[in-house]
Amino acid sequence: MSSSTSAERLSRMLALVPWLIAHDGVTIEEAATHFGISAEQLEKDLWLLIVCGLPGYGPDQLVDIDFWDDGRIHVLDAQTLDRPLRLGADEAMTLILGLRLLEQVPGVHDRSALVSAAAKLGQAVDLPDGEAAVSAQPQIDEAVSAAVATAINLGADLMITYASGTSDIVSERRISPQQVVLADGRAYLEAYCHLAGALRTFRLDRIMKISAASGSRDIPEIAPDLSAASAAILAVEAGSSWLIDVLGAQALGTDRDGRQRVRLEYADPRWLVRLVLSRGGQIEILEPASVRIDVTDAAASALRAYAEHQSFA
Amino acid sequence: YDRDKQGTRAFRLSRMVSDPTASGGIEHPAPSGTDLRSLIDPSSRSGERLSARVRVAAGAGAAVRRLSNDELAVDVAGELRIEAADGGALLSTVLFAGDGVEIMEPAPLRAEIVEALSRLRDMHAEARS
Repeated sequence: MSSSTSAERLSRMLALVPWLIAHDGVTIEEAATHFGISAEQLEKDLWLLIVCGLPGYGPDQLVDIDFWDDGRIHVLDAQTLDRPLRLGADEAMTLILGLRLLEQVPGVHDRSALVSAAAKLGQAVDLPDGEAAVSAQPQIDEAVSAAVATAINLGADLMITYASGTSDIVSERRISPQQVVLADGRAYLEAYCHLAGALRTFRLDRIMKISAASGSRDIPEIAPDLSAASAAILAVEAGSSWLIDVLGAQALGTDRDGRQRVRLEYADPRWLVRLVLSRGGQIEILEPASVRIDVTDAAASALRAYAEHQSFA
Repeated sequence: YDRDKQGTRAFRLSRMVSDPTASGGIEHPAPSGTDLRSLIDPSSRSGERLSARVRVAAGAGAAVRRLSNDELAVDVAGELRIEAADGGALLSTVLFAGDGVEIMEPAPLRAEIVEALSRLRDMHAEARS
Protein backbone atom coordinates (compact mmCIF):
# COMPACT_ATOMS: atom_id res chain seq x y z
CA MET A 1 0.00 0.00 0.00
CA SER A 2 1.49 3.37 -0.93
CA SER A 3 1.99 6.05 1.70
CA SER A 4 -0.51 8.35 0.02
CA THR A 5 -3.14 5.62 0.14
CA SER A 6 -2.33 5.01 3.81
CA ALA A 7 -2.74 8.72 4.51
CA GLU A 8 -6.06 8.82 2.66
CA ARG A 9 -7.26 5.78 4.52
CA LEU A 10 -6.29 7.27 7.90
CA SER A 11 -8.16 10.49 7.09
CA ARG A 12 -11.20 8.52 5.99
CA MET A 13 -11.24 6.32 9.07
CA LEU A 14 -10.98 9.31 11.40
CA ALA A 15 -13.98 10.84 9.64
CA LEU A 16 -15.85 7.55 9.40
CA VAL A 17 -16.76 6.98 13.06
CA PRO A 18 -18.44 10.37 13.74
CA TRP A 19 -20.27 10.09 10.42
CA LEU A 20 -21.54 6.61 11.27
CA ILE A 21 -22.72 7.85 14.68
CA ALA A 22 -24.69 10.60 12.92
CA HIS A 23 -26.13 8.05 10.47
CA ASP A 24 -26.91 5.13 12.76
CA GLY A 25 -28.23 2.10 10.86
CA VAL A 26 -26.84 3.13 7.48
CA THR A 27 -26.06 0.20 5.16
CA ILE A 28 -22.53 -0.70 4.17
CA GLU A 29 -23.33 0.15 0.54
CA GLU A 30 -24.68 3.61 1.47
CA ALA A 31 -21.68 4.40 3.62
CA ALA A 32 -19.28 3.17 0.94
CA THR A 33 -20.99 5.36 -1.65
CA HIS A 34 -20.75 8.40 0.64
CA PHE A 35 -17.01 7.96 1.09
CA GLY A 36 -16.41 7.08 -2.55
CA ILE A 37 -15.01 3.61 -1.90
CA SER A 38 -16.13 0.03 -2.52
CA ALA A 39 -18.23 -1.88 0.01
CA GLU A 40 -15.34 -4.30 0.32
CA GLN A 41 -12.93 -1.50 1.27
CA LEU A 42 -15.40 -0.11 3.79
CA GLU A 43 -15.68 -3.50 5.46
CA LYS A 44 -11.87 -3.64 5.68
CA ASP A 45 -11.91 -0.21 7.35
CA LEU A 46 -14.51 -1.38 9.83
CA TRP A 47 -12.59 -4.55 10.67
CA LEU A 48 -9.52 -2.41 11.35
CA LEU A 49 -11.45 0.10 13.42
CA ILE A 50 -12.76 -2.50 15.83
CA VAL A 51 -9.23 -3.44 16.82
CA CYS A 52 -8.28 0.21 17.45
CA GLY A 53 -8.57 1.82 20.86
CA LEU A 54 -6.85 3.34 23.82
CA PRO A 55 -3.71 2.00 25.53
CA GLY A 56 -4.47 -1.12 27.49
CA TYR A 57 -6.41 -2.34 24.45
CA GLY A 58 -8.79 -4.47 26.51
CA PRO A 59 -12.35 -5.11 25.36
CA ASP A 60 -13.55 -1.97 27.13
CA GLN A 61 -10.92 0.20 25.49
CA LEU A 62 -11.53 -0.69 21.84
CA VAL A 63 -13.86 0.88 19.30
CA ASP A 64 -16.93 -1.33 18.98
CA ILE A 65 -18.99 -1.36 15.80
CA ASP A 66 -21.69 -3.85 14.84
CA PHE A 67 -21.93 -4.25 11.07
CA TRP A 68 -22.38 -7.94 10.41
CA ASP A 69 -25.82 -8.79 11.83
CA ASP A 70 -28.24 -7.11 9.42
CA GLY A 71 -25.97 -5.38 6.90
CA ARG A 72 -26.46 -2.12 8.76
CA ILE A 73 -23.82 -0.30 10.77
CA HIS A 74 -24.22 0.61 14.45
CA VAL A 75 -21.42 2.26 16.47
CA LEU A 76 -21.67 0.81 19.97
CA ASP A 77 -18.59 2.44 21.50
CA ALA A 78 -16.71 5.19 19.67
CA GLN A 79 -14.08 5.64 22.40
CA THR A 80 -12.57 9.10 21.56
CA LEU A 81 -13.61 9.17 17.91
CA ASP A 82 -17.16 10.39 18.45
CA ARG A 83 -16.46 13.93 17.22
CA PRO A 84 -14.98 15.02 13.90
CA LEU A 85 -11.26 15.65 13.91
CA ARG A 86 -10.62 19.27 14.89
CA LEU A 87 -7.83 21.51 13.79
CA GLY A 88 -5.48 22.89 16.40
CA ALA A 89 -5.63 26.66 16.92
CA ASP A 90 -2.30 27.20 15.15
CA GLU A 91 -3.33 24.98 12.24
CA ALA A 92 -6.63 26.81 11.85
CA MET A 93 -4.94 30.22 12.09
CA THR A 94 -2.45 29.25 9.40
CA LEU A 95 -5.24 28.12 7.10
CA ILE A 96 -7.34 31.22 7.71
CA LEU A 97 -4.40 33.56 7.12
CA GLY A 98 -3.60 31.76 3.86
CA LEU A 99 -7.22 32.05 2.73
CA ARG A 100 -7.39 35.74 3.63
CA LEU A 101 -4.23 36.44 1.62
CA LEU A 102 -5.52 34.44 -1.32
CA GLU A 103 -8.76 36.45 -1.23
CA GLN A 104 -6.74 39.57 -2.11
CA VAL A 105 -4.95 38.04 -5.08
CA PRO A 106 -6.68 38.62 -8.40
CA GLY A 107 -7.19 35.66 -10.67
CA VAL A 108 -9.73 33.20 -11.90
CA HIS A 109 -10.40 31.57 -8.53
CA ASP A 110 -13.79 31.90 -6.83
CA ARG A 111 -13.23 34.62 -4.24
CA SER A 112 -16.61 34.06 -2.59
CA ALA A 113 -15.67 30.44 -1.89
CA LEU A 114 -12.48 31.60 -0.17
CA VAL A 115 -14.37 34.13 1.94
CA SER A 116 -16.93 31.51 2.88
CA ALA A 117 -14.29 28.90 3.77
CA ALA A 118 -12.39 31.38 5.97
CA ALA A 119 -15.60 32.38 7.74
CA LYS A 120 -16.56 28.75 8.42
CA LEU A 121 -13.09 27.96 9.72
CA GLY A 122 -13.27 31.00 11.97
CA GLN A 123 -16.56 29.79 13.42
CA ALA A 124 -15.28 26.25 13.80
CA VAL A 125 -12.28 27.27 15.91
CA ASP A 126 -14.25 29.95 17.75
CA LEU A 127 -11.91 32.87 17.13
CA PRO A 128 -12.09 35.31 20.07
CA ASP A 129 -12.41 38.47 17.99
CA GLY A 130 -14.05 37.05 14.91
CA GLU A 131 -12.93 38.84 11.76
CA ALA A 132 -10.40 41.00 13.58
CA ALA A 133 -8.49 38.03 14.95
CA VAL A 134 -6.84 37.25 11.61
CA SER A 135 -6.23 40.13 9.26
CA ALA A 136 -4.19 39.96 6.07
CA GLN A 137 -3.45 43.27 4.48
CA PRO A 138 -1.32 42.94 1.37
CA GLN A 139 -0.03 46.09 -0.27
CA ILE A 140 -2.08 45.54 -3.40
CA ASP A 141 -4.51 48.33 -4.19
CA GLU A 142 -8.07 47.01 -4.42
CA ALA A 143 -8.61 48.84 -7.72
CA VAL A 144 -5.55 47.11 -9.18
CA SER A 145 -6.69 43.76 -7.89
CA ALA A 146 -10.20 44.16 -9.33
CA ALA A 147 -9.01 45.47 -12.71
CA VAL A 148 -6.52 42.62 -13.15
CA ALA A 149 -9.11 39.99 -12.24
CA THR A 150 -11.60 41.47 -14.70
CA ALA A 151 -9.03 41.70 -17.49
CA ILE A 152 -7.93 38.08 -17.04
CA ASN A 153 -11.52 36.87 -17.01
CA LEU A 154 -12.52 38.89 -20.09
CA GLY A 155 -9.24 38.55 -21.98
CA ALA A 156 -8.96 42.35 -22.13
CA ASP A 157 -5.94 44.67 -22.21
CA LEU A 158 -4.97 47.16 -19.52
CA MET A 159 -3.09 50.45 -19.37
CA ILE A 160 -0.79 50.63 -16.37
CA THR A 161 1.63 53.10 -14.84
CA TYR A 162 4.40 50.93 -13.48
CA ALA A 163 7.31 51.66 -11.17
CA SER A 164 10.00 49.26 -12.29
CA GLY A 165 12.16 47.77 -9.57
CA THR A 166 14.82 46.92 -12.12
CA SER A 167 15.31 50.25 -13.86
CA ASP A 168 13.70 52.52 -11.21
CA ILE A 169 11.77 54.13 -14.05
CA VAL A 170 8.07 54.91 -14.02
CA SER A 171 6.47 54.08 -17.35
CA GLU A 172 3.06 53.77 -18.93
CA ARG A 173 2.43 50.51 -20.72
CA ARG A 174 -0.31 48.65 -22.49
CA ILE A 175 -0.35 45.05 -21.30
CA SER A 176 -2.26 41.89 -22.10
CA PRO A 177 -2.60 40.03 -18.77
CA GLN A 178 -2.06 36.26 -18.81
CA GLN A 179 -2.06 35.07 -15.19
CA VAL A 180 -1.24 35.99 -11.61
CA VAL A 181 1.43 34.01 -9.83
CA LEU A 182 2.55 34.05 -6.20
CA ALA A 183 6.21 33.84 -5.28
CA ASP A 184 7.94 34.59 -1.97
CA GLY A 185 4.73 36.04 -0.56
CA ARG A 186 4.25 38.53 -3.39
CA ALA A 187 1.77 38.58 -6.25
CA TYR A 188 3.06 39.04 -9.79
CA LEU A 189 1.17 39.56 -13.02
CA GLU A 190 2.50 37.83 -16.10
CA ALA A 191 1.48 39.79 -19.16
CA TYR A 192 2.49 40.58 -22.71
CA CYS A 193 3.92 44.10 -22.60
CA HIS A 194 3.27 46.05 -25.80
CA LEU A 195 5.97 48.58 -24.84
CA ALA A 196 8.67 45.92 -24.51
CA GLY A 197 7.20 43.69 -27.21
CA ALA A 198 7.64 40.63 -24.99
CA LEU A 199 6.29 38.81 -21.96
CA ARG A 200 7.05 40.63 -18.74
CA THR A 201 6.34 40.06 -15.05
CA PHE A 202 4.89 42.93 -13.03
CA ARG A 203 4.76 43.10 -9.24
CA LEU A 204 1.18 44.04 -8.41
CA ASP A 205 2.15 46.38 -5.58
CA ARG A 206 4.27 48.40 -8.02
CA ILE A 207 1.38 49.18 -10.35
CA MET A 208 0.65 52.82 -9.56
CA LYS A 209 -2.32 53.39 -11.89
CA ILE A 210 -4.50 51.04 -13.88
CA SER A 211 -7.35 51.35 -16.37
CA ALA A 212 -9.00 49.39 -19.15
CA ALA A 213 -7.32 49.82 -22.55
CA SER A 214 -9.31 50.81 -25.59
CA GLY A 215 -9.34 48.72 -28.75
CA SER A 216 -9.04 45.00 -29.23
CA ARG A 217 -6.23 42.76 -28.06
CA ASP A 218 -3.51 42.10 -30.59
CA ILE A 219 -0.64 39.95 -29.33
CA PRO A 220 2.01 38.76 -31.78
CA GLU A 221 3.21 35.20 -31.48
CA ILE A 222 5.32 35.09 -28.35
CA ALA A 223 8.75 33.56 -28.69
CA PRO A 224 10.01 31.72 -25.63
CA ASP A 225 12.57 33.60 -23.58
CA LEU A 226 15.68 31.51 -23.86
CA SER A 227 17.92 33.88 -21.93
CA ALA A 228 19.44 32.17 -18.92
CA ALA A 229 20.25 33.89 -15.64
CA SER A 230 23.79 35.25 -15.38
CA ALA A 231 25.95 35.03 -12.29
CA ALA A 232 28.10 37.63 -10.57
CA ILE A 233 30.77 37.31 -7.90
CA LEU A 234 30.43 39.93 -5.17
CA ALA A 235 32.47 40.97 -2.14
CA VAL A 236 30.09 41.97 0.66
CA GLU A 237 30.99 43.96 3.77
CA ALA A 238 29.45 43.04 7.13
CA GLY A 239 27.02 45.97 7.00
CA SER A 240 25.27 44.46 3.98
CA SER A 241 25.70 40.76 4.78
CA TRP A 242 21.99 40.47 5.59
CA LEU A 243 21.39 40.82 1.85
CA ILE A 244 23.11 37.48 1.23
CA ASP A 245 20.17 35.69 2.81
CA VAL A 246 17.57 38.00 1.33
CA LEU A 247 18.88 37.55 -2.21
CA GLY A 248 19.59 33.85 -1.86
CA ALA A 249 23.25 34.30 -2.81
CA GLN A 250 25.66 31.38 -2.54
CA ALA A 251 28.43 31.89 0.02
CA LEU A 252 31.91 31.19 -1.38
CA GLY A 253 34.03 32.10 1.64
CA THR A 254 35.61 35.02 3.45
CA ASP A 255 38.29 37.21 1.90
CA ARG A 256 41.40 38.38 3.77
CA ASP A 257 39.84 41.80 4.23
CA GLY A 258 36.88 40.22 6.05
CA ARG A 259 34.40 40.67 3.24
CA GLN A 260 32.22 37.72 2.32
CA ARG A 261 32.56 36.46 -1.22
CA VAL A 262 29.29 35.29 -2.75
CA ARG A 263 27.86 34.18 -6.07
CA LEU A 264 24.59 35.82 -7.07
CA GLU A 265 22.40 34.97 -10.04
CA TYR A 266 20.66 37.85 -11.77
CA ALA A 267 18.44 38.26 -14.80
CA ASP A 268 19.05 41.93 -15.60
CA PRO A 269 22.40 43.71 -15.14
CA ARG A 270 20.58 47.04 -14.65
CA TRP A 271 19.07 45.67 -11.46
CA LEU A 272 22.47 44.45 -10.23
CA VAL A 273 24.05 47.85 -10.88
CA ARG A 274 21.34 49.62 -8.88
CA LEU A 275 21.57 47.08 -6.08
CA VAL A 276 25.29 47.76 -5.75
CA LEU A 277 24.72 51.52 -5.93
CA SER A 278 22.13 51.33 -3.17
CA ARG A 279 24.65 49.84 -0.74
CA GLY A 280 26.98 52.81 -1.13
CA GLY A 281 30.21 50.85 -1.49
CA GLN A 282 29.46 48.00 0.91
CA ILE A 283 29.16 45.62 -2.04
CA GLU A 284 31.78 45.35 -4.78
CA ILE A 285 31.25 43.53 -8.05
CA LEU A 286 34.27 41.31 -8.68
CA GLU A 287 32.89 39.66 -11.81
CA PRO A 288 31.76 40.15 -14.50
CA ALA A 289 33.99 43.00 -15.64
CA SER A 290 31.21 44.45 -17.78
CA VAL A 291 29.03 45.11 -14.73
CA ARG A 292 32.00 46.63 -12.88
CA ILE A 293 32.26 49.10 -15.71
CA ASP A 294 28.51 49.74 -15.59
CA VAL A 295 28.71 50.52 -11.86
CA THR A 296 31.66 52.87 -12.44
CA ASP A 297 29.74 54.68 -15.18
CA ALA A 298 26.52 54.90 -13.16
CA ALA A 299 28.31 56.31 -10.11
CA ALA A 300 30.23 58.80 -12.25
CA SER A 301 27.06 59.90 -14.01
CA ALA A 302 25.28 60.51 -10.69
CA LEU A 303 28.29 62.41 -9.36
CA ARG A 304 28.21 64.79 -12.33
CA ALA A 305 24.87 66.19 -11.18
CA TYR A 306 26.31 66.93 -7.75
CA ALA A 307 29.35 68.61 -9.31
CA GLU A 308 27.14 70.78 -11.52
CA HIS A 309 24.96 71.93 -8.61
CA GLN A 310 27.56 72.65 -5.97
CA SER A 311 25.52 75.63 -4.81
CA PHE A 312 23.24 73.22 -2.92
CA ALA A 313 26.10 71.99 -0.76
CA TYR B 1 21.09 42.57 25.94
CA ASP B 2 24.31 40.93 24.79
CA ARG B 3 26.63 40.68 27.79
CA ASP B 4 29.67 40.05 25.58
CA LYS B 5 28.98 43.10 23.43
CA GLN B 6 27.71 45.16 26.36
CA GLY B 7 24.75 46.35 24.36
CA THR B 8 21.35 45.55 22.92
CA ARG B 9 21.45 43.18 19.95
CA ALA B 10 18.84 41.41 17.81
CA PHE B 11 19.30 37.72 17.01
CA ARG B 12 17.59 35.79 14.27
CA LEU B 13 16.20 32.63 15.85
CA SER B 14 16.89 30.55 12.75
CA ARG B 15 20.60 31.32 13.09
CA MET B 16 20.95 29.84 16.56
CA VAL B 17 22.79 26.65 15.78
CA SER B 18 22.92 25.16 19.28
CA ASP B 19 20.23 24.51 21.85
CA PRO B 20 19.86 27.54 24.15
CA THR B 21 20.33 26.90 27.85
CA ALA B 22 19.24 28.99 30.83
CA SER B 23 22.12 30.53 32.76
CA GLY B 24 20.44 32.21 35.69
CA GLY B 25 18.17 35.17 36.32
CA ILE B 26 17.64 38.18 34.09
CA GLU B 27 20.32 40.74 34.91
CA HIS B 28 19.37 43.31 32.29
CA PRO B 29 15.58 43.59 32.10
CA ALA B 30 14.21 45.89 29.42
CA PRO B 31 13.56 49.36 30.92
CA SER B 32 9.85 50.06 31.26
CA GLY B 33 8.42 51.67 28.17
CA THR B 34 11.03 50.14 25.86
CA ASP B 35 9.60 49.45 22.41
CA LEU B 36 11.39 46.19 21.64
CA ARG B 37 10.08 46.08 18.09
CA SER B 38 11.65 49.43 17.28
CA LEU B 39 15.07 47.98 18.08
CA ILE B 40 14.94 45.81 14.98
CA ASP B 41 12.42 47.65 12.82
CA PRO B 42 13.39 51.29 12.17
CA SER B 43 10.10 51.97 10.40
CA SER B 44 8.19 51.38 13.64
CA ARG B 45 10.14 54.00 15.59
CA SER B 46 8.16 56.97 16.68
CA GLY B 47 9.52 60.47 16.70
CA GLU B 48 10.89 62.81 14.08
CA ARG B 49 11.35 61.41 10.60
CA LEU B 50 14.31 62.20 8.39
CA SER B 51 13.41 64.62 5.63
CA ALA B 52 15.18 65.71 2.45
CA ARG B 53 14.54 67.84 -0.64
CA VAL B 54 15.38 66.05 -3.87
CA ARG B 55 15.32 66.73 -7.59
CA VAL B 56 13.97 63.86 -9.72
CA ALA B 57 14.36 63.43 -13.46
CA ALA B 58 11.32 62.84 -15.67
CA GLY B 59 10.12 59.24 -15.38
CA ALA B 60 12.94 58.35 -12.99
CA GLY B 61 13.22 57.70 -9.26
CA ALA B 62 10.19 55.45 -8.89
CA ALA B 63 11.19 54.29 -5.40
CA VAL B 64 12.08 57.83 -4.26
CA ARG B 65 8.74 59.18 -5.49
CA ARG B 66 7.00 56.70 -3.19
CA LEU B 67 8.67 58.40 -0.20
CA SER B 68 6.93 61.69 -1.00
CA ASN B 69 3.44 63.02 -0.50
CA ASP B 70 4.00 65.81 -3.05
CA GLU B 71 2.08 65.62 -6.28
CA LEU B 72 4.35 65.39 -9.30
CA ALA B 73 3.39 63.62 -12.50
CA VAL B 74 5.66 60.66 -13.13
CA ASP B 75 6.75 61.91 -16.54
CA VAL B 76 7.71 65.34 -15.21
CA ALA B 77 11.02 66.39 -13.65
CA GLY B 78 10.84 68.44 -10.47
CA GLU B 79 11.51 68.78 -6.79
CA LEU B 80 10.02 66.65 -4.03
CA ARG B 81 10.12 66.60 -0.26
CA ILE B 82 10.74 63.03 0.86
CA GLU B 83 10.63 61.47 4.32
CA ALA B 84 11.86 58.24 5.86
CA ALA B 85 12.08 56.86 9.38
CA ASP B 86 15.60 55.69 8.83
CA GLY B 87 18.52 57.65 7.33
CA GLY B 88 20.10 54.50 5.98
CA ALA B 89 16.95 53.56 4.08
CA LEU B 90 16.65 57.05 2.65
CA LEU B 91 20.27 57.07 1.46
CA SER B 92 19.89 53.59 -0.01
CA THR B 93 16.75 54.56 -1.92
CA VAL B 94 18.35 57.69 -3.36
CA LEU B 95 21.51 55.81 -4.35
CA PHE B 96 19.38 53.12 -6.05
CA ALA B 97 18.01 55.86 -8.32
CA GLY B 98 21.51 56.69 -9.66
CA ASP B 99 21.52 59.83 -11.78
CA GLY B 100 17.73 59.98 -11.70
CA VAL B 101 17.64 61.65 -8.29
CA GLU B 102 19.78 64.31 -6.65
CA ILE B 103 19.60 65.32 -2.99
CA MET B 104 19.51 69.11 -2.68
CA GLU B 105 19.27 69.38 1.09
CA PRO B 106 20.18 68.80 3.85
CA ALA B 107 23.84 69.35 3.01
CA PRO B 108 25.18 66.55 5.26
CA LEU B 109 23.00 64.01 3.45
CA ARG B 110 24.14 65.39 0.11
CA ALA B 111 27.76 65.01 1.24
CA GLU B 112 27.12 61.40 2.29
CA ILE B 113 25.72 60.61 -1.15
CA VAL B 114 28.73 62.19 -2.88
CA GLU B 115 31.09 60.24 -0.65
CA ALA B 116 29.29 56.95 -1.31
CA LEU B 117 29.16 57.50 -5.07
CA SER B 118 32.85 58.45 -5.16
CA ARG B 119 33.73 55.30 -3.26
CA LEU B 120 31.66 53.19 -5.64
CA ARG B 121 33.22 54.77 -8.71
CA ASP B 122 36.79 54.44 -7.47
CA MET B 123 36.30 50.91 -6.14
CA HIS B 124 34.93 49.61 -9.42
CA ALA B 125 37.27 51.60 -11.67
CA GLU B 126 40.24 49.62 -10.35
CA ALA B 127 41.25 46.83 -12.67
CA ARG B 128 40.96 43.38 -11.12
CA SER B 129 42.89 40.34 -12.18
